Amino acid sequence: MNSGEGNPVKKRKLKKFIHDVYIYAVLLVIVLVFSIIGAANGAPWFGRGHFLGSASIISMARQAAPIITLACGFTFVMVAGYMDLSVGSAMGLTQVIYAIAVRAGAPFIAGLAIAVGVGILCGIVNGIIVAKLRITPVIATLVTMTVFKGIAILLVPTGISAIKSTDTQKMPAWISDYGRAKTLFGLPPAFYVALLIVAVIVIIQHKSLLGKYAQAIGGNRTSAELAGINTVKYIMLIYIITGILAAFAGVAQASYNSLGNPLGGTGFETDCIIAVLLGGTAFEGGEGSAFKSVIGAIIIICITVGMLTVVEAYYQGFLKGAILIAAVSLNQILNKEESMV
Amino acid sequence: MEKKKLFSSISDESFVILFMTVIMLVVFGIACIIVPNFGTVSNIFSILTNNWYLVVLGIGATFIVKTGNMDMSLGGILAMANVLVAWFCQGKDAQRPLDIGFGMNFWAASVLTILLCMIIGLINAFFIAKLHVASLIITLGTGFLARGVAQIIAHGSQRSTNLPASFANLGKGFIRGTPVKYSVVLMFLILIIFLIIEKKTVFGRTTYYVGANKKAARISGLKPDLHLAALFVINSVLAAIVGIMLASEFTAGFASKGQGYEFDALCVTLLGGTSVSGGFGSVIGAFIGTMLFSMVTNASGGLLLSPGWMYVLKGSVTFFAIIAQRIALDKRRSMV
Repeated sequence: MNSGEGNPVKKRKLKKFIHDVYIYAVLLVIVLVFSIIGAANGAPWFGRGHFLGSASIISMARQAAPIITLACGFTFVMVAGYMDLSVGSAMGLTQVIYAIAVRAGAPFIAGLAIAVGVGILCGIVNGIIVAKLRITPVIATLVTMTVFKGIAILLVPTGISAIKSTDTQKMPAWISDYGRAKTLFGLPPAFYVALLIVAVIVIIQHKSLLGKYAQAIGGNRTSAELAGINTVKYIMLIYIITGILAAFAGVAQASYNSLGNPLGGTGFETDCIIAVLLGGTAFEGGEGSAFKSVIGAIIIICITVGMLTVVEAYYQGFLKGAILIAAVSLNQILNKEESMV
Repeated sequence: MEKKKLFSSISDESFVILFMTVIMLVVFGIACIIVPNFGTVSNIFSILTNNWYLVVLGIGATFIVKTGNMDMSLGGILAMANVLVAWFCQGKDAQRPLDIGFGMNFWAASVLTILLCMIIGLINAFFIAKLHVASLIITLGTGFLARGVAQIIAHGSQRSTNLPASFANLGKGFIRGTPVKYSVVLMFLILIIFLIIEKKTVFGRTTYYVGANKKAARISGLKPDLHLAALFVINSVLAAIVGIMLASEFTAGFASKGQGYEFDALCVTLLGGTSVSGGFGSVIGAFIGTMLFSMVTNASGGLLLSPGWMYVLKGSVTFFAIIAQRIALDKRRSMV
């Protein structure tokens, strides 16, 4: 800070630099902390039982696929200044439908296609309510969150909690391959698909009109409309993308657990919000990077997995709240400094 | 601020509440016909009284929503109060860690619990009023934080052992000779107090002004930020009171208590005609909304529908209520 005193250009550059890289620093610090804790507990570095050991990394990659997939697409929603609280429920709904399809004998691709179809439908419903009927996004998606959750629960026969193998209908053994099989470097296919999705979303954000228009809508919807942008169409598109990604996340989770849990996505909307905020997207919208949201998602996974080695599972809720509040504060500080420059 | 129209002497707010009351009566009529045993006196009584906690939470939520904000930390604060009060009242001498408490008097424990829950309200207030953070996001965070406290204290489950017998007096008690529980009396008491605050005090009118136009409120010499802060603290106190009453009623503190209540509270607020963009709404609406809400859940229970239907019905009713209110208001305005 002191070096930049009296030199506004240098100061601004420094702040932009901090804004650009802080998320990587946070990730690095967290990984280091858990690594040192692991080493202090007697595990050899990068070895068995260590935070950076191969087993630990594979386990993290398996769990990370759904949240990575969702968080990068969620960036669009928040950049445009909107909100989607229904992603978790959409994830639950799509994974239930995927599990039903697969159990009934559908091959993987067909199951995925059906799930994505349902995800698109969820996105269209959200888009119509928010963009066409102009109901406040938070309220609208709270409503669809309840409805999607209800439908997902309805699809599961009463008396059991999830779609799984029964005496009459067996879940095929390959269902867990997508989320657990060891392919390249021992990581599951779902993780590579998630990386592919991230690449596509990052390209969409930087190279397509959708990315620019999302920013414009987030900056000021009315002026975006006056500038000739078909805001209804683009908001619909953003919700549809989120729906598709919810389907991919749902399939990844169904495969990881080998069952279709209607409540499997509970809390994912909060995780997405945390990830996107950690990635530096302002909640007023207008600016944000999908890639940084992914880093935010990885931070969440590192913390949840890492903390399990240190404390009991029931500390998770407190921790999640603390991270969210920290993310909000960090976001606030950085964005405020920028606007003061 | 209320917009008085030439068309009629009643305000938009009263109009919407009247409209929702009519809808409630229609739903009641239909339910009486299709749901077995819906119209019996005992069932009507249970509809009126079973959801007392939702009325209290809805009253708090109405004040918050009127300013164009929302509070998603209600459920978390409720759980925190639920567990804390049980913990404070548990006896000191026990073997298992989950049985050991502080052996405090119930009333002292309640006051301490409310004070601790106010801390969560103060965090909300600080971020929303001072830093101007979106209320949805910060209250999501503090909701997790508060529930996290409950989970840590209850070790992820509940504290229900080693409680003194007097612990249940308040929650399980009835007014002598009547089937009316103390909690229902409390509900009506809070309803009346907040109705007076809303309609007759400067504080209540400020809420409307801040919701309708924050900038104008500031320019006219009010302190909208301070007002918002006060509202969030009040809301945390209401949630804490509900949590304490529920702990006493069930003689246990559950870490999972109140999951989703923030959404239910928002639902009844919207069903009661409070505008999401802020500016109008009334605690009477929250009461009407809760009655409509309990009719829907009660009817779906009477028809033996699965919990899935409950969610679908809840969501759809809220959605159609919002749409119906908007159409009714537009019609009324275009008739002027």
